[in-house]
Amino acid sequence: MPQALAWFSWDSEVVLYDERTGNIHYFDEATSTIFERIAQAPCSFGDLVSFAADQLQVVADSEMAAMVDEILMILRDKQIVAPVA
Amino acid sequence: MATSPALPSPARTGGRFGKYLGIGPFVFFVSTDIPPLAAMIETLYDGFPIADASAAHFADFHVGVNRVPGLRSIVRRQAVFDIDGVRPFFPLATGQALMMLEGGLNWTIAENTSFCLVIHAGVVERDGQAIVLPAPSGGGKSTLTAGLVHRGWRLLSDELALLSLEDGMLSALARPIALKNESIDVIRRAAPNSWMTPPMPHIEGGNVIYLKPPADSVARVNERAAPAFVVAPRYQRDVPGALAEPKSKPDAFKELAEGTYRFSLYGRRGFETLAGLVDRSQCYDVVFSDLDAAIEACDRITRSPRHR
Repeated sequence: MPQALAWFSWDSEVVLYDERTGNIHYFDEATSTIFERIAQAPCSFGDLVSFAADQLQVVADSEMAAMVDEILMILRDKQIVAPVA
Repeated sequence: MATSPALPSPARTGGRFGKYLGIGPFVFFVSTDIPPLAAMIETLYDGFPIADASAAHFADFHVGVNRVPGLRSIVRRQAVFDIDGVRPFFPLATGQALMMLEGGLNWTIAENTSFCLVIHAGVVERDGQAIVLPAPSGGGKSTLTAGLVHRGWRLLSDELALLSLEDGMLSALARPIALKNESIDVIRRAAPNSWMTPPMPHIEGGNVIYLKPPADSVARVNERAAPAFVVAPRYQRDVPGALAEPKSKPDAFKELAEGTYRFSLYGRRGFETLAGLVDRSQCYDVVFSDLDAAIEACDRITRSPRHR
């Protein structure tokens, strides 16, 4: 996780500050769940879908996988997360 | 600690009024050539301390509200605010001189302070716990602040919360409280023994008065307070009494961040300071039509067992 990020997690939602841009991001529950899991340690896409489905109490199906993929894309675009080898 | 009336100079010289005022962490030198404004400053700021009488010739800011000279002043008497010789605003009628001074002091603090975050919010304190009351203008912030202050809470500010970047404590200003339109009569009924200025036309329409701060709040102006609650007040005519609902911390943070002057300049330190306030505070929305009910709601919030 980039050192330039600072965040607080309240009520299942993350408020994140990016020192590189000065932007403050307000994450909804799904985005917060995924972000906090990645912040703990890198994990595979499959593990991330399972974890998020469990936390959000939904079925880990293709629809859930698509949502996780979309959230990851947004986080990557903002350079908040990055793929690891 | 000396009080400002004891200072030997500068006093009234050549018909011109000037005074050093220790307002919380700031020292202002305030001057005017408008006698009714001088009289109101004397009354509203009676008892304000100055940090050190021997430093009476030092001020963080020199501000003034003075008559606009020239031929136009014959047909239309106007006054203008200046800070350190610069005039950032258009002139207004001399009858609005106090409003111009108070607005100018707010502007000066908001634009020139760098040791703390300046948040558009009221702040009151009791038993060492402060409530921060963020709200847009006209939302009932000053009304609820004034109501709480006249029920035993200490006034830190009705307009600007000063949040230390060092330790997250709140500094006091204890300046006069501005009340507009309907709230004037509400507070007149709630605090009948308080001293208020006569109404003057507000720049946005309607009237405004200034309520003299309680002597105890002024005497304790250098006493800081720890934030414990964020209460976002909103006056709403059709609500019965007052409704208090927990407010999510992300929403509270967003409201405070939007109300913090020049927030982006403080970077990560500003973010962590403001988020720290929210993290340590219980956050509520209080929607009210009745001041007494809103005050009781604040009492319930701050006296509930989980806050002890």
